[in-house]
Amino acid sequence: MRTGNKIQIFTFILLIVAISDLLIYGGSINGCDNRADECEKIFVHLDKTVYVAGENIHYKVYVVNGKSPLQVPESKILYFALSEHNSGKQILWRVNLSKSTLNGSYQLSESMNAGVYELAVYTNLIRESIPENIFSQELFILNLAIEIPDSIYIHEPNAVNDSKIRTVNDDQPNLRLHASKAVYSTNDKVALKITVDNLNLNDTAYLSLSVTNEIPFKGILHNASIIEQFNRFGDFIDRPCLSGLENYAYILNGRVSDKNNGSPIRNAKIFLALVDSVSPKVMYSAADSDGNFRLYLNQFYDNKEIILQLADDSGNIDILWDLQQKGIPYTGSSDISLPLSNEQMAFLNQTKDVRLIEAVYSERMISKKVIPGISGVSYFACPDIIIFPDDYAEMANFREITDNIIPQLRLRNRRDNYYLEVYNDSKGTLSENNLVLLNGVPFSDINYIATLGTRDIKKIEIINSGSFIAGDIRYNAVISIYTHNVRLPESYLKAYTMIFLNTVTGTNEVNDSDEYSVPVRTRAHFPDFRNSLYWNPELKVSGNNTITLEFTTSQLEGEYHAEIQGITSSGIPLNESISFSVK
Amino acid sequence: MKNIFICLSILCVTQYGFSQAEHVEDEPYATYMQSKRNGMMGLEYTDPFLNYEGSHYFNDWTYGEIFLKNGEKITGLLLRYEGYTDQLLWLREDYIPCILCKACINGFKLYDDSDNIKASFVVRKGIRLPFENDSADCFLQILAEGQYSFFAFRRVGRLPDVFKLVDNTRYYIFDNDKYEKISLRIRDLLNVSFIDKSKMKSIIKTNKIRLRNNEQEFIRAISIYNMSS
Repeated sequence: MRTGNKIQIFTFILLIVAISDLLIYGGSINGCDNRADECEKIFVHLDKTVYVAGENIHYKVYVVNGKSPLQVPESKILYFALSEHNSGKQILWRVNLSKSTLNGSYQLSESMNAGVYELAVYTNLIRESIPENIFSQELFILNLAIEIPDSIYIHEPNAVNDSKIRTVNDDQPNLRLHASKAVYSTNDKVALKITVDNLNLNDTAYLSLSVTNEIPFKGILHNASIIEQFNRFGDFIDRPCLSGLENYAYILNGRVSDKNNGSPIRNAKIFLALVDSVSPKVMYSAADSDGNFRLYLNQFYDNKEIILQLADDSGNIDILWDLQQKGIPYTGSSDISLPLSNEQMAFLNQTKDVRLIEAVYSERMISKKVIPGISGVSYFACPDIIIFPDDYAEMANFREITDNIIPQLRLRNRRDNYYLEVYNDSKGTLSENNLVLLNGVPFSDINYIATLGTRDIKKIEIINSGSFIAGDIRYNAVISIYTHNVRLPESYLKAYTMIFLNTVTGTNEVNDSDEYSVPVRTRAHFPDFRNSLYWNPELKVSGNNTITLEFTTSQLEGEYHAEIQGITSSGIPLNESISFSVK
Repeated sequence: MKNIFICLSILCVTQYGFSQAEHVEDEPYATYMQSKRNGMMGLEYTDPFLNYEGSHYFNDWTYGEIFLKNGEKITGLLLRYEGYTDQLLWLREDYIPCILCKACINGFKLYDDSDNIKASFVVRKGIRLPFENDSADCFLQILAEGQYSFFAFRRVGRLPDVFKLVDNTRYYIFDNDKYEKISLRIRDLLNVSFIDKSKMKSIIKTNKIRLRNNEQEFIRAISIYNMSS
């Protein structure tokens, strides 16, 4: 073979390899073709649009991972931000996301102001990387104790969104909703038939249905359907869609700085702990040179009081803990004031009256499911010494305990301050550089420990067979003290720690204590003035099947709106609505 | 020559670009694991047998992963099993060896340089040890898994008066929670109460298995027995 041919063949092979690389990776650099389109998208279906403070918002969430619809989403945490228009006051809550669809409820605070609110739902990935994909819906919240305002603040119509909607093919699955009658009488039985045309035999449609009275706010409250939300596209800025991904646990981001001068505490060593009567569940993290730190909290830490403190001796510094809330900025500059018409006022007043009647007469069933959670990890679970002071004669304080029953411990006093010395078995020496834990929390106030006697202390565990290393800190020994009351002194918590309640709202898997879980028939109470007739977030239609749903109308006459939203297992969004009258 | 150079450049650019893309995708996992590794705590390990003949380590420092009691795992750790005290050691990034509390893990895996599993250990509760009244939680190496599992307890002993460490591996056959200690002898295997003697005999005969002091053949015999049951 001639040299020229060889070169040509070699060049050809290299080109093939390069092109194949382009084909394999080219469509997914950084994971996405078009960030907003291929990354996560969210749609939330609410049971209604007008609520009264104290009521539950019932919701069904659909999360689509653009690359693989209806697969388990990458993000494991979902955030809800409810912002009051005009004032921008925000209520934040979060849920754990384990499936691509979930439903749950959130009880609105009784003290909320009356007005229009914007509910934004997002993952941290969306918040940081693709804010275009934040789901938002406007809703009206009333308060029984507050007069309805004469005017409301709403988004300026043009300021909402300039994105486009992709057209849907005719051969795609099509949802049909059919009511047995066009007009029903009060306390009548309604039958709704749901079918999905063009649905593949092995395909399933996951749906949610709400039936509520028509609201006179059409064109004022901007609410998208699932089809609009999932088929929306625009000229979005190309950013990597990985920043902020919470695919393992909730990420607790924060910053520690000096309260007096605001300078960051460089390389601060941080302990995260919670009060525990069995074993310490302490986590360690080191801050960077700007004082920023990050901790991953799995579900074990859900709904627990988290205690943060510096691990090293920084008792003299006033610490400012700045924990990232993961809310979204409210852009209220485009809000405009809109006076309410008489019809709207009448509707809102009626809604308040209905709520009052329902609050008095409606039945409430409370049934709480408790699902076993993930446990915490204790690196302190193998103590060398375990002592139960109760087994001995009564001793008034800790000095008596150490002197009489724990020879490895010495409680000493230096200039009116107590300190603990522990005998380390491997070194053969006493040292005061020890980690003291009180009820699972690192605790440096030895003066308080000195006051504890056998009546207070339940158990003492000591690890002294070697140096104990926690992160970048080496301790001579670990002394873990558990008291009967499993408490920490308030003064210590206030002075040295940062406490936050890691609140996570339950979803249907955890908590189904809501009025809709009560069977339809038993809900027919007297007087029955429900304005929201039906809510079912867990409907499923497979292949050519048709499902029929039955519920009763209330004594409230008017126009009703049944809306169904959903998605097929192949990721095609579905939406349909019908109206009927109750006379 | 010019053509080759152009092609090589294209190839390098595409490969580099996409390797960067993959690197970005791995970032959340890498950061998460780094945070988990940094947060690990334990007792510093000091070697009590520096001048002894023999080794009390099952392996040299090897990359592996641990399975925590809560179902999470931590990967990318340098691990070493210490047979004398039956402890799992991990080497911190500052090269300090530490003991990982046995009570906080379910087991661990060690990988070789080609990322193949070299050995898997689990913590088994309530193992009765010779000359001890109480039972203990021990790290047992999984040799064969199935309805009947075959484990090795890689115990290392110290000979009195001489500075010498000796391998004192013990073998256990488990049927769920029931277990029996055996030696690598055919008679021991056939005498295990929950093993069908005649069936095992026929397996040994038909597969020409030579069991005496042969760990690999024991693994083979029990694996075949598991497949046939």
